[in-house]
Amino acid sequence: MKYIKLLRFDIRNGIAGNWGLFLAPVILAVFAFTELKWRVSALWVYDATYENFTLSYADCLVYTYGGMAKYIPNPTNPFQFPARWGGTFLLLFLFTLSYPVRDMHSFGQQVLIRSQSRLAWWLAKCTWNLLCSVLYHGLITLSLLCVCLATGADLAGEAHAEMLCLVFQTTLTGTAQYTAIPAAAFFLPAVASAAISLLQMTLSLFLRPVFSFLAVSVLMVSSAYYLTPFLPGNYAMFIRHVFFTMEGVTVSAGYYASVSLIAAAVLAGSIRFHRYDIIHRE
Amino acid sequence: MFRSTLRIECGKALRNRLFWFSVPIGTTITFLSLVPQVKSYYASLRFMNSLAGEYAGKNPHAPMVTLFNRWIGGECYSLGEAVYFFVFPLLVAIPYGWSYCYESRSGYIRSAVLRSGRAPYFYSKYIAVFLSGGLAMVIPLLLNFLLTAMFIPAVRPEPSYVVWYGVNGSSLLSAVYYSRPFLYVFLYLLIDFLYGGLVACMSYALSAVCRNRIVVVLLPFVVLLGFKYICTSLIYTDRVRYKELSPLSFLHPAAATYDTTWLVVIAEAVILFLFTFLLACVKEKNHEIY
Repeated sequence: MKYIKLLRFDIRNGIAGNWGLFLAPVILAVFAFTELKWRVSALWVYDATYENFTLSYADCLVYTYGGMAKYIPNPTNPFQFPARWGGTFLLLFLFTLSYPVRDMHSFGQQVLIRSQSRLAWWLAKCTWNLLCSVLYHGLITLSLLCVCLATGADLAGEAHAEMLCLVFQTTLTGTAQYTAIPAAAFFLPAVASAAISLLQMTLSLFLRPVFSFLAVSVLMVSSAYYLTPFLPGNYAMFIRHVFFTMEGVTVSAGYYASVSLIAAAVLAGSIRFHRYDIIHRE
Repeated sequence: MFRSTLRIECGKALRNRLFWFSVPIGTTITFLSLVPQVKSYYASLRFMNSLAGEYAGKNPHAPMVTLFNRWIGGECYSLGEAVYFFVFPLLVAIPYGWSYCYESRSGYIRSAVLRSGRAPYFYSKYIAVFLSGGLAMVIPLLLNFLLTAMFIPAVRPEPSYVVWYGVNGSSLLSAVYYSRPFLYVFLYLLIDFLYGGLVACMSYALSAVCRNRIVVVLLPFVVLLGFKYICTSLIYTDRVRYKELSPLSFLHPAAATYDTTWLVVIAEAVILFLFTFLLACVKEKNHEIY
């Protein structure tokens, strides 16, 4: 009961009042769709059929969460961080960064004392964090759906892997050339992002929130730099999945890693928060 | 009064704990560039030595691997370079960008303004934030340059090896790069210092509209990332070669993709200065502090 009350408080204060969480996904989705439309129309130089190409909803989703192809370090191949992909995730991490700390040093302190349960308070914050991720990515997918509906894009169609690889300037070596991309893959970026967001919240119990954001930013750049299953950012990049890249990460490994990270973050956070000094820290 | 206030503010900016956290973090990140570069230099040296008998007296390609394309600002393919030039807006805002926000919330500003006067307080704060940001940006880069110089010789770059440098004829200061490379590094560090300071001042300026210390430190990073996104996604196409507009890219001496121009560098610096100075010193100076 305490947990439900605390969660309701967090939803009211940490989600309802967080207008960026509602506005940013809509803007990002519209920008991503417009950009994809431009890029596809520019592909006519490779193939004339791309001049009047009908995009599918799946194309838009893959493009928004595409990331970048595997990077091979070389003096003639400079590293370029995928700003759209990075911005999409880092904005969520920014929106979920300050509320728990701010709450802990303001009214939430009274709530925490009166609830008499640190565990319930921490679990409510973790659930709030997960809800933020679900809402944020849900709004992105919903906004993309609305834009697709408005522009007459193919809603039921599959992702055009060949076209997407041209847009991301890579070669299709994955399984998408033979089979369709399973629906489970489309939820993985949201799950991976929820895991990293929870990791950031847990880190902010050990470090200052700004440093935990810095750590997560470094994690995202490292994920873009190295294609490895040990860096969770790779699971949030469609172009790094086995459907597009032969040596890419798999969806099942992504779910295992993300759920393990969520569990580890919740556990580490609850242990740390049990002895956390809420009075003297800022 | 101005001088003593400035001394106090600079002391607070450069002697605080966060400045001494930020600089080592930046330096550690630059090690992610230094270590692989030094390793690869020695690997190429071993390879050349193994061919010494066969190719004795022939071109050893010495300018291919030089200090000027192996320090963090000269190469654009290591993890250290990628991380440093991505997170620098955070590293420069962490030391002192938050101070005005904190002081106005805590009430310290009232006693400081009473003792020093409005103008000295606000101008000193601006200068101190600028200095802390500039130094937090440049110290790790300078250390990296010096440490790289301990291992890799400063062979003057040869234009015929342009593919290994990332500095071509249309790059900013390219003539200086090939004739006086040390001056090139110095000038680029100066540009980085200027932008590091201005980005830190963005935090100070944004304190006028935002009262959350965490958000104030992170906002310049978000603004620059958003600008880079707009530049890469909506301005650039595959068919047109634009000049680099995003500071996240052009503050890196070796151009990763597009070259920049003096017009872009100066115009953006002026815009940033006007925005930060007008908001931080003019608006806030005339704002009620009680």
